Amino acid sequence: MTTSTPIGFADPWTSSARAGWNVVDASTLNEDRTYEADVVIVGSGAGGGTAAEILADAGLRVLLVEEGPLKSSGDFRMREAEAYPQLYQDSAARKTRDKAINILQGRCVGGGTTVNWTSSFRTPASTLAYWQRHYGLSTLTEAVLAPWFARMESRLAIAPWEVAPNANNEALARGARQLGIAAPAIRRNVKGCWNLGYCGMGCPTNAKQSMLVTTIPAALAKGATLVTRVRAERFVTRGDRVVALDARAMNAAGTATTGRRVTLRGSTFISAAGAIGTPGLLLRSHLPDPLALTGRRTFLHPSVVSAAVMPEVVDGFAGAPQTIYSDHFLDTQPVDGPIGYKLEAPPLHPILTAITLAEDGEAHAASMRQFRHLQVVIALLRDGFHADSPGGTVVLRDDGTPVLDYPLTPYVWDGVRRALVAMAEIQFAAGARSVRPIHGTGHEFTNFAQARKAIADFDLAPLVTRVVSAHVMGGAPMGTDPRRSVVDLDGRHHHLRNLHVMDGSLFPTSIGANPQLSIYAMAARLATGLAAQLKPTAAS
Amino acid sequence: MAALGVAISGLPAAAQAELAQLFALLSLPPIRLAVARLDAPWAQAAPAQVRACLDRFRDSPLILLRAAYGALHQLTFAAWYGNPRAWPAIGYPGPPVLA
Repeated sequence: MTTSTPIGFADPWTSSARAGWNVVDASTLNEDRTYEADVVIVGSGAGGGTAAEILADAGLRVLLVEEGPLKSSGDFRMREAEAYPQLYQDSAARKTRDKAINILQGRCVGGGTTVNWTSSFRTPASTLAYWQRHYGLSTLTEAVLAPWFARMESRLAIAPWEVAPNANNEALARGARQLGIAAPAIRRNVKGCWNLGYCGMGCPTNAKQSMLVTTIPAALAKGATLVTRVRAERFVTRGDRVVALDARAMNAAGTATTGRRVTLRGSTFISAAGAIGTPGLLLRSHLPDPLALTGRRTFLHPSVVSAAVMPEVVDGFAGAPQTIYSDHFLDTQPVDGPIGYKLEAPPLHPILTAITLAEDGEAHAASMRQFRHLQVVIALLRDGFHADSPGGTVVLRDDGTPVLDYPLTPYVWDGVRRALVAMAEIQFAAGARSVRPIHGTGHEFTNFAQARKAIADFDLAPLVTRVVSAHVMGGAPMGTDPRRSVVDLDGRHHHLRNLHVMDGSLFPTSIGANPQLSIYAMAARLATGLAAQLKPTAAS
Repeated sequence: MAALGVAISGLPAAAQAELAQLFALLSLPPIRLAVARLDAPWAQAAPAQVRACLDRFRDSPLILLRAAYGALHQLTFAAWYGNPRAWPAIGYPGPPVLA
């Protein structure tokens, strides 16, 4: 951590209030430690951060544990080579078991909210309706959730982004307009955003209203304790209760444990370690799970990529990423039919662009020389709404770390093929000189007819077609029926009465939109209910 | 090569172990001959031989070999384009200066 704030935007972590906060960096421990609290929360991302503030506000003693490091604006130098190893799971190279899908997932104080691209959507009505119909989530109606969305939108300054989109997003809007496809603006959780375009490397100006600068400092101000660089190993249970969380200190680089044990005792435990971390932790804890549901039905919004070369300079690294989207290919077909997809325009930085392009050698170098003219659209496929879309399964490696086994099925590939065609059509409509669907050894097309014909014949396959993800959901789904869900409608584990789940693993399908606001609202609702239950005990 | 080392050292233990296994396997003479079709050690291979080997990995029906190619593709380009010296060639001006 640096101690200076370079240009006068307030960093709570360098404020004078910071001196009174309880923050422990477990990598520096030279002996085993035990901590005690009313509520122990595993993970400081969208779910854990939201819950921490609400529970601390209720007067409960909160312990927040995070596997990643505490980094804040002074550390965020907008360099991929620094940010990915520091702030992401597996240096931003986390992969599914067969390596076919690269997963971007945060691992730092604030979790994914520290590194996400700020896209804020309420859970789509079609998704909630599907959950009511198929998973018995009758209490999760739009009307019931509306005040929780409103509360978190207000807390995190989620509002329409009034600034003109950058050229990368403008091209998506232009192409869609040409084709008569709706492509509205994305709401963002920012306050006084500088429109720099480096959200994915940690916001250097504290404009992004992540957990790092909002709920976590607020919880600490109310007496919560934050322990960083500590990996939750397993819940220790007695009967139908969790009595402790057994954890291990991580080294400063976050690549291995140091051997120091950290024991966290409490009366209530919340798992908010993300939709790979939470199922992994539950599995390592050998909790009762008679039907082996934990970790199953984990979803990714598998995403495919189309890169265009525009006549004009695009500079996709500059300006807010993902400010325009299109749900045309979600909304114009039934939620439980062939897989639909959302279109967005991501940030383009050198590493992310270079590792995504299909080519290698001289062809790759030639593509990279067009870097400033590259325009990229991604299609995020809405998985989990069809019998042929069961998602993946989180399993444990020999060393106990979790890995997601996610088979890419013909149902998904059908959507991939349609998405590659749709993106190419939009990019040509926006004036692209050429379009490259990211597949095989790289194919460049100079008109739509040519692209469409070629894509129809693509031999789509894992590790031939580039598939990526930045949204992990499911694996510990909520529901009324213990034969089909891991936690109840209060987020409480069906078999352990003081263990709760409050993160993206709660969702029984994918969301069909960038999930951060869905997680905020769900965690706010569940944590408020939990606080009401716990408060009398805590006060006594 | 140094940047590659840094990129690999940032990976978790399980991923580092998989890479080490891969490189060890590919260095065993029978595997090297059968999979990479190199009759001499890797360090002595001509660029064209390495190129041909990478093509075989990339186009292999075996997902394991395609994954090996994918790992090399990702590590190499991440190491290369993370370095500011690679930026002028692609016209990337580097991150904005705030102060």
